[in-house]
Amino acid sequence: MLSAIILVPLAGAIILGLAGRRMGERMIGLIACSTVAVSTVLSFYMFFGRLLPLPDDARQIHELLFTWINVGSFRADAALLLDPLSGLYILFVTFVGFWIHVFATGYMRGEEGYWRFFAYLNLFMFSMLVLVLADNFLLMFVGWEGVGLCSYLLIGYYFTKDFANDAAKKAFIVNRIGDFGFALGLMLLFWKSGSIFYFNDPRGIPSAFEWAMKPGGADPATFSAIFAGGLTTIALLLFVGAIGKSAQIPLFVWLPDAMAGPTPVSALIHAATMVTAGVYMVSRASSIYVNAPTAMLIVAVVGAATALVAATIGIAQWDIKKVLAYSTVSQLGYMFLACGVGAFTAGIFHVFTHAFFKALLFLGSGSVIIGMHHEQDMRRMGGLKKYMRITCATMIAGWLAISGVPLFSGFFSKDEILYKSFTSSALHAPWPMVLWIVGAMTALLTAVYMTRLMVLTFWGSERFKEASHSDDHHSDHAHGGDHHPAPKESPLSMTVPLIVLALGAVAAGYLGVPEGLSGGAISNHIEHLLEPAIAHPAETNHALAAEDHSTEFILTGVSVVIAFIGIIGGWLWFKRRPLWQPPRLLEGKYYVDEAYDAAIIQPIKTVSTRVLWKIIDVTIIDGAVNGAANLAARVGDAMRYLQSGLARSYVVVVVVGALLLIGYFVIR
Amino acid sequence: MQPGQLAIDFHAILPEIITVLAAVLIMMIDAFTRRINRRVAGAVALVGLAGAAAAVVSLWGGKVESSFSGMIVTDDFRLFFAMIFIIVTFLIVLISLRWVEDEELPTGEYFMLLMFATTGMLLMSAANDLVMIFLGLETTSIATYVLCGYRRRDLRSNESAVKYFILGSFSTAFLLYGIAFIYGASYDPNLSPVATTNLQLLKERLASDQLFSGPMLLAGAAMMLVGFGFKVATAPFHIWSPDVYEGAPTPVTAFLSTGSKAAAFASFSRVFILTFFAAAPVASGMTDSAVSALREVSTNALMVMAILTMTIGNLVAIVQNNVKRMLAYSSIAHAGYALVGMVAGDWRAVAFYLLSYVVINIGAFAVIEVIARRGDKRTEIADYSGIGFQTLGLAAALSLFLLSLAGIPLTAGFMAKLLVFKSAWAAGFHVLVVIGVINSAISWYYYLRVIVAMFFREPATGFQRPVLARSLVAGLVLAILGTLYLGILPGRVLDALEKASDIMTTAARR
Repeated sequence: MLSAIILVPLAGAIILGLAGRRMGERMIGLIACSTVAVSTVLSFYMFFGRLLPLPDDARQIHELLFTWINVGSFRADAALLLDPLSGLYILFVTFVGFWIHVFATGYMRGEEGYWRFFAYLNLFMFSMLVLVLADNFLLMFVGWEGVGLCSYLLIGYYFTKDFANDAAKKAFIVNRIGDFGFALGLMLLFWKSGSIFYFNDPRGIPSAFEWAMKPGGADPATFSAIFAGGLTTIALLLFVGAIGKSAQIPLFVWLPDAMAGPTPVSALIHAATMVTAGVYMVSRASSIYVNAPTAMLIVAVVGAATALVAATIGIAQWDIKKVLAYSTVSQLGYMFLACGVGAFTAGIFHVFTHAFFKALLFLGSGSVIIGMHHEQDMRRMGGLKKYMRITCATMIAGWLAISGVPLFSGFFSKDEILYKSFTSSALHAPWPMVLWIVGAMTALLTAVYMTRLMVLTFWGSERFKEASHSDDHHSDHAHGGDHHPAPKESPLSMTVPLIVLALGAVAAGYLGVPEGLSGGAISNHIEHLLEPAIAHPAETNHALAAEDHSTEFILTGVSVVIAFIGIIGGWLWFKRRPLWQPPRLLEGKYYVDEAYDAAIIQPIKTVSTRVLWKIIDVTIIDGAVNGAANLAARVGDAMRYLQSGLARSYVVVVVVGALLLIGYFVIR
Repeated sequence: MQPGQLAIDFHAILPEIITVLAAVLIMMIDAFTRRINRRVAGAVALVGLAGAAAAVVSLWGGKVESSFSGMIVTDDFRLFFAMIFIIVTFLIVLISLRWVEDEELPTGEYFMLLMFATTGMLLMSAANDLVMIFLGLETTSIATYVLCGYRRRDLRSNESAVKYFILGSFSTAFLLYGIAFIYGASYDPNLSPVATTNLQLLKERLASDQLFSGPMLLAGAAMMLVGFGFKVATAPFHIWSPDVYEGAPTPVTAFLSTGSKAAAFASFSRVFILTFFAAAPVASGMTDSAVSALREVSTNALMVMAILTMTIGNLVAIVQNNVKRMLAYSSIAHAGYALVGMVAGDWRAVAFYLLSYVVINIGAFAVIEVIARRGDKRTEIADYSGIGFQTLGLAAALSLFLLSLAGIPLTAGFMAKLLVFKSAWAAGFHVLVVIGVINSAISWYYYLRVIVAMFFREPATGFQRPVLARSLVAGLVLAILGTLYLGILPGRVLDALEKASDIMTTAARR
């Protein structure tokens, strides 16, 4: 049953890849959506019908596909594991994935290579589900590479365009850096623990986590532990992989550029699912992290810093998709902040709600882009609310959710993260407070930049009427004329997914209402569910946290105030001055790309042209090549070549070699 | 298992019988019709190979039996290598079906020679007697000498054949002389037969140190090393191979660099690992006996040869501008990696290495054959510039094969290198493994160079999308699947190897 969840999308990808070229668009769309639909139904059945009825602490379903490698002490299986963590993931991955597929059938209409697009998209679903359902790190790595490949292919979907190719290359290279860390971490883990399996399972394979959780095995909270080659080193190497995949500082530069891909791709891969794989991996390996306090601190600090930095950049972008891209980076930072302070469940909860509202916002922006005839610059939008009512209404739901307005989904998950970082017991004294302040500032900025996006797009004067379209036209579609007819609402295939996701963005939060907030009236389903699958920091003070509801109420009050300040302030400011020029430093994204270019790329180029090419290639290799070329020139006249005695000289070489060998053997 | 008994057992040589029959049948059809249709000849060859494969499978079963007066032995070692040879020829037939016709070459003889060469190779892995090894080797060699010169109006092809023939016969002389020395060294008037070339008896005599002369044995072993070293193209006896590989028609080059190389490795391992090394377990107390000296010096010699072979092959490959010549040097380097497995005395790693290597390499040559076109005209790296997006499928396939040769994970090339290096490391040859890994890193340069040329250079002029024959596509697809299968799911094959029995393990068990 589990294998069907991953294999059906694979079958779809294969069918589309082999025969899609000859199919009509309807047929392609039908195959692509129906395979994901089957996966979705199966996922829901497996989760609700099979996993939940099991007792709380025995919620694991294993399925062995085949033994993959079994050499000496090294064993890796292609085996699947359904537990609360992977269960939650497959639910939203398939559900959100399905609606994005539906949206894409409308969005991609008439594009060249329609079949190719959906073949990649189905292949992505397969890889993502392998990543999530794998029952060992190596198989997870296979899925990890698979989603990376699909992301690369889909970013470069418009491969005739330079910027798409460059973005794809950038994503590829940056992700390789991360993967290198992941692979090293994996090897070190196997070296130390002798296993790559998460849990003990019915096949009697030992578990890496058991080794990590062995009593008294926790690493000390010192910085020297980073290089000690123990749990902390493993945790940080794995985190390097997560940094690459989930676009954290310093490797976040690829994600904004990845928006060169079609918008449904941005929604599915670069917002809802793939980029959260890093959070999944860190939560999955929570047993390792909780025993590596230094690694936890670094995860938390990196997450908080990324959240803040990306949010400030988000305020200053003009491209509607770029704003959302930096917003995604920022929200991913929140999730890592949660993991770092030991609140893995809160991080996963935020992944879950974020998948809904961010996919919604991206698809909404896609709808706007299509409605605006491939315009992405918010300076040329404005006043769209009367042209695109459904898009506008659904995006309002996403806006309120991400800004943290009470009763919308983002409010619950973000509030949980902020509360958990304030009360974290995993970190030393000043850190919880510092992290909370950073998180709260980010929340304020989030509300501001999202309000800016909404105001610039849907309210104010209709700037598209007066705009001239000759200069830099950064649309992701090939065409786009000089005159714009009035914007129009998108077809049903696009608005229905928006409505569904908007409902999700409002409702998804109620699965995990913090206990203190509801006074226990609504139980925190998510936390109860994930409890057995997640390890807890050693010195957790559950009892204290449970009683301390007053702190929670105060903190919640503060975040509500922050959200409203952000929204109202942003509204008043940008309503009046929609084209307010943001600080150059922010608009230029802190010039990180330029800094990388100056610090890394140019030196490499210089070394390779000046040293490697000029000295080694020209002098040494070309010298040898020219020598060889002289030789080759004689091959033309083969008879002369033969008579010149080269065959004889070969014989000489053989004889000398033979004499040396025989001499050595006989004399010794 | 009595080597003295006659033991005529036709089942034991069924694979060889089938391939010979197929070869003869092709010849007969060719003689009695005006001109044999390439499809008919190819079909007969493929059916014959399938039959031989079935015969090999029917022999499988973990037993060790010798027959024909100890000339032939049936063990998993033989059968595994037999499978490799059958796979090689099967793929070669597929990739050259259309090619022979396009080149307007006589079809019948081509497939007939291929089948005879295969028979020789099968015998080389089945032989349990130095004389039989020699016979198999010569059967293969003579067929391949002719195949090298098969495009007889092409000077390069002629040069290739003549050079291969001259140097080949020269090295065969070494091998034969070595066999004679070993025969002499095994002389013992108290035993019957008084002297022997049977490997089983030889091993027993070596183990009990009943030798006529130790130095004679060592001299003989050295000469055999020269002979085998030539056939597998290890430095410094590799010197012939670049010229021969470059000049020979591309499918023949593919065959030479995979099939006959693997066959030579089979005999090489049979003689050195399963006979010489097996006769002198490292732990045996006889430190100054001829046989432990033999083990020591041949290990040292093999080690030096492995290092030289890997290094020369890779370094010279870097400066090549002709893809075929580059792959010739790459093939030398790969023989070096396989030698690392031999140094470790682990024939299983060697066998897996060769299996992976033949599949990948034939795939690579298949693409090169298509791109080269009639008369092998386009084989310079410059001819590959920018063809990546003009013929995406071919370029992607070639990239896969080259990356696999370089040893990228999840492909056969990686698994193969991993196993060889792993067993060498376990056997304590750490320096060798380090040099091997460095070499492997060097090799990335020239493999990637072709890929870079294909995808990132300005398109070369005059490139037309080649028309792909269906048989060739079938061969390519098989090679791709094989490359990925061995890289991703090697479990089954490794398991078969792990369980494989040979004289060494059965002797140890008894």
